[in-house]
Amino acid sequence: MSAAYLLPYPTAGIDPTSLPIGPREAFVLSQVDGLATIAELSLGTGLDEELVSEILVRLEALGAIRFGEAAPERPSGISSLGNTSASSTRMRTVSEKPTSVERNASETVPPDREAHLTREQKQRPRFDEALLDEPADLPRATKEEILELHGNLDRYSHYELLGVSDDADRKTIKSAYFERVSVFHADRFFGKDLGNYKARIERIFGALTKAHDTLTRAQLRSDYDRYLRSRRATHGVRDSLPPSGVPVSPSGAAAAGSRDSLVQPVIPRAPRSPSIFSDALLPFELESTLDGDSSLPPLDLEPSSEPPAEPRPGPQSGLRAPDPAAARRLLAKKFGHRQAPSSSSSTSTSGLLSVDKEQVKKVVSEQMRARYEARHGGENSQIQRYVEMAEEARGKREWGSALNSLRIALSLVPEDARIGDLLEEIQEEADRSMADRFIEQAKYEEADGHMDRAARSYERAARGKSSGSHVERASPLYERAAFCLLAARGDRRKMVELARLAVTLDPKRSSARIVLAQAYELSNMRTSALGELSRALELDPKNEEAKQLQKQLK
Amino acid sequence: MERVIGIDLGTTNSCVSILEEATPAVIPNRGGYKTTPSIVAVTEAGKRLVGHIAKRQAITNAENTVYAAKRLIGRKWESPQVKNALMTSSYHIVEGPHDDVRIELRGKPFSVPEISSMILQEMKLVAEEYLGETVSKAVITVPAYFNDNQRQATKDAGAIAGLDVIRIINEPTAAALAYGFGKNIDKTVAVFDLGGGTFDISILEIGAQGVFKVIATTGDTFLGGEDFDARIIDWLVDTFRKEHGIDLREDRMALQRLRDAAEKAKCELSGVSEAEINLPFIISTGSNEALHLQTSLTRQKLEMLTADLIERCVEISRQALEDAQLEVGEIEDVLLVGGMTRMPAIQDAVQSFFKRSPNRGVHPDEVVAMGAAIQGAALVEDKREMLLLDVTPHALGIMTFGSHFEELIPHNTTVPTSMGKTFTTSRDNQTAVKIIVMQGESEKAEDNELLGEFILTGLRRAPKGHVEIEVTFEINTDGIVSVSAKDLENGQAQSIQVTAQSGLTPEEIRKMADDARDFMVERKTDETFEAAKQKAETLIASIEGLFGEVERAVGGADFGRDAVDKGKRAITSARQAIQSRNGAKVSEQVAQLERTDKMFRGVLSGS
Repeated sequence: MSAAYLLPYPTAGIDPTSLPIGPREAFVLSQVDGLATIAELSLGTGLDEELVSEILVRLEALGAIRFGEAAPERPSGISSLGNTSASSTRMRTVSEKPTSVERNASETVPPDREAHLTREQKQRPRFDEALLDEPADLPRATKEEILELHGNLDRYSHYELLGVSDDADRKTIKSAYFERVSVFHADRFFGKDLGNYKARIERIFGALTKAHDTLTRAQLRSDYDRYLRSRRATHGVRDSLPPSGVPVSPSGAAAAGSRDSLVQPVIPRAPRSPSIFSDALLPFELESTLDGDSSLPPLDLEPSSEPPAEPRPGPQSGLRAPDPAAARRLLAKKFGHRQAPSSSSSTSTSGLLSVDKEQVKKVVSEQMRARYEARHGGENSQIQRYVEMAEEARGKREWGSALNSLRIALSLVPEDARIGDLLEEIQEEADRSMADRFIEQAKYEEADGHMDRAARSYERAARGKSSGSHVERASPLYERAAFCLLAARGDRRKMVELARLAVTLDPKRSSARIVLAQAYELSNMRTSALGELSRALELDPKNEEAKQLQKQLK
Repeated sequence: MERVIGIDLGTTNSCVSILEEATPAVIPNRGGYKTTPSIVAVTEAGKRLVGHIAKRQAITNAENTVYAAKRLIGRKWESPQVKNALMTSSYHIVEGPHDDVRIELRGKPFSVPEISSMILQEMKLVAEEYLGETVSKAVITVPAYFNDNQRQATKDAGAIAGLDVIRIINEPTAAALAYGFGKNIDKTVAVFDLGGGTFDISILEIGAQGVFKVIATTGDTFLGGEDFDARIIDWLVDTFRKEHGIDLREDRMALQRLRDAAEKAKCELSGVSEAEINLPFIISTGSNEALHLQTSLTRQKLEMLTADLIERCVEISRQALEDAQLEVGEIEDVLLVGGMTRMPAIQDAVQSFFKRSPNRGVHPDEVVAMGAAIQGAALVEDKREMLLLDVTPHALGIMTFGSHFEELIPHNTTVPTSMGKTFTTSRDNQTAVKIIVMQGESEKAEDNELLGEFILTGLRRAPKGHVEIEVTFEINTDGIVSVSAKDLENGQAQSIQVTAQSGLTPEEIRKMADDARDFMVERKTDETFEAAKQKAETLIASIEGLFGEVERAVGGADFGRDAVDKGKRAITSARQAIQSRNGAKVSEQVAQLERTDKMFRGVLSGS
């Protein structure tokens, strides 16, 4: 099916020297032209396919390339070249559904790059192919079209959805809308049994209409544009919030907590410095394990537990999934290739070598040593370079890139308190300077009905406001964040946490206590809820809402 | 493929159209008229009359003649509109079983959708006779400002009439469709639609791909030609009372005559500046003395009497522009729809408000049905010629604590649209949740239209707050609301029980549809009987006229006497058959009479 056959395309306007990559990645990147398949890239660079794929995935995470569908009438001459590897090329494409790693990674791409992506470029088959089998009186191509668009609605800006440029005039927007709705409207399929596709078509229609209605009304459009600019400006800063459940500290003192969150794979997989890792580009997951990260099971290097076969084709190929077994397979493979360099170029699939346990141990210990040196040497040029890059970006107030560089550095030496502190510092600085933008975004999102997004933005804003001398200013923002989460029926622990922060920062705000009480109530903590309500009523004896709630609870 | 008719079910007149070779054609009725009065009557003999014939007998049968039923469709008994109609209608309005309205005709209560279905059935028949084939699919138009209850009731009327209503569309939108269809235009237009009972104004964008997108619509479902007539009636009644001290309203027949006279005068005043109103013997006083009503109405007087109504139309137009966020100058064309737009004062008001002379290219009485026919054909045919994007005229919401209206879908939202809202239980082990769904623009729930009370039943038993039900509110392309619910935890659909809905139940609709079908059969039988009876009577007259001559010619002979006796017997049995009202029997007798007639004539010519 067309969905599975993807090609790497270079991202326009990217400066390779700005990327935290090594010579190999740069070499591969230089060969990516939107025509070459992975097999061809392998031939062209002399690197084995597995490796090329991995590098490509990393480059994609950095925003340097993207995967897109191959043009259908592509001359077939080249595919004969990579005949043996055709299947492995296809399987390696990104047909799996988006993992959190991937999503967050793409959001860390600096805004200017993101802005260059057109709708088509971003569009990837991100739908569950099983849905194609759902009964509906529609041709398969139409189903694919619907599923693809439906699965990506939230990712597109209004402009991208309509396929117009950011400066398109009203007339262009209107005709683009008319063009698109005349495809995606249930009346076009009148009398046909659409099954579950009816709801999808209607959602697409709704999204297109919202895009049109927003962009064709001057006031709405300028509000939206401001929001879009604001979001783009906060790219990279925005989505690095600790996952819910991790306690947040308003003063930023809980460095450990924050650090924890930062080594979660929220960030793009860090490219390893060749100087440390020589030939072996190990998957990130393995690296975590070597660092003793307890979130993964201990590494079992026993190859017998897993057939040393090539990664299977298909959506489960698991290149990105944090799967220890896959990591093991890869390691085995890497190792094998180094042992037999002659087989490394075109026949990557053939050289499946049995792995010598001893050799694996040797490699691992070498890497650990390298890691250790990197960590304690402190002067390691690569890490230093990231830190310098971060400082430079900080000077230019490019918070996204600054934070990104530091996260990469920190992922290389997670225990380095100096980098951790610096990251914390820059994060705070970024939050502070972005706080107003986040408030702006939150307000828009709230008015737009995206309560969960609004909650996140309010929280970010609150964090920005809570680091100054007037910490109580953050209280209403935390309260609002909690309120939005309540409205979105989001994570209950998180809403309690946010509301508690609001109360802690400004214990005299009765409204914060009421929100906290509601959060408690939703979490089945009735006693705490009643306690909070009575405190709220002490502060504001006339509060009708509190009285009402109290009555309901009793 | 089966063809789809478009029906404009109007307050005062209805119209049916069909697309023929890409052009909508209006189908004339038996009398040759392109519109049919939306009037239904039941005669003393229990016969149903629809259209012109019903209108003709209205004065003598005022209590059993229903006009402007559309003003009552989908309304609740308690509504001010019904209270108003109670005061002014010549027919009997009674309370129905669902807080709805019934109309009593010859002692039998009819629901309003049933009355409307009689008109729809008539329009269906007009189309079938014209096409020579049965028709079962239709697109029916409603005023844009109709709420869900009114739309639902209109759809019910279609079902009762045996029609599959494939789409309900808004009248002004239909008019715009007929105006822009196949013309490949790119324009922003306003449709000013003042009909017999309702006023709508819609602002649309017509553009590429044959897309018609409504940007804003607003109106008043109780503002139309009827109200203009009422002003004239008021004036006539007041003048008469001042002069004679008699209230003409107390006499239903007088009131019906006034109504006719007022409408006639109003129409005349669109062309001339003064109209005579002459109603001799309008009422008799106790002392065996009759009074006459004789006066004249000038156009100026009419405009004075109705100035506030016209002003209200302009006010609503202003609101529509505001909703559309457009300036007057951005409107590139204004269409006038509905018979009332023939009134010069209205045309002047439109012109001065929109600062351009309105388009006169569309037929104000026929354009709506034509648009409905276009939409019908576009839906069933696979050609991608046009797409209609309409909006919901009213906000949809629910009643929350303290009788507050919480808006979920704002008005002027493009349909189809849907909105999800999560509800939780507020008590432990709560097994049902009640959701009160309303439509309207007021923050106070009681000022809005109640659509229904939806009760989610059979919820899981759990501590309060633990059961979360996602309720989806949906408005479809007909502008009709539906509500569905599912348990967020297990994804199971929840059953919804609807109570307090003013519409008809599915069983009632089924029964009414059966009745309507039976009635159609009866009507067909009736028609055969009438035809046979007429024929029989003509023959009887002819034969009776020949008796004398036949007796004179062959009276002496036995066979002559036989023949005369035979003739007399034939006439007797024919009369009996007619008495029995049995069409088939009469037809048999007609054959017998024909033979007799032939025989008589044979005898006479042979002699």
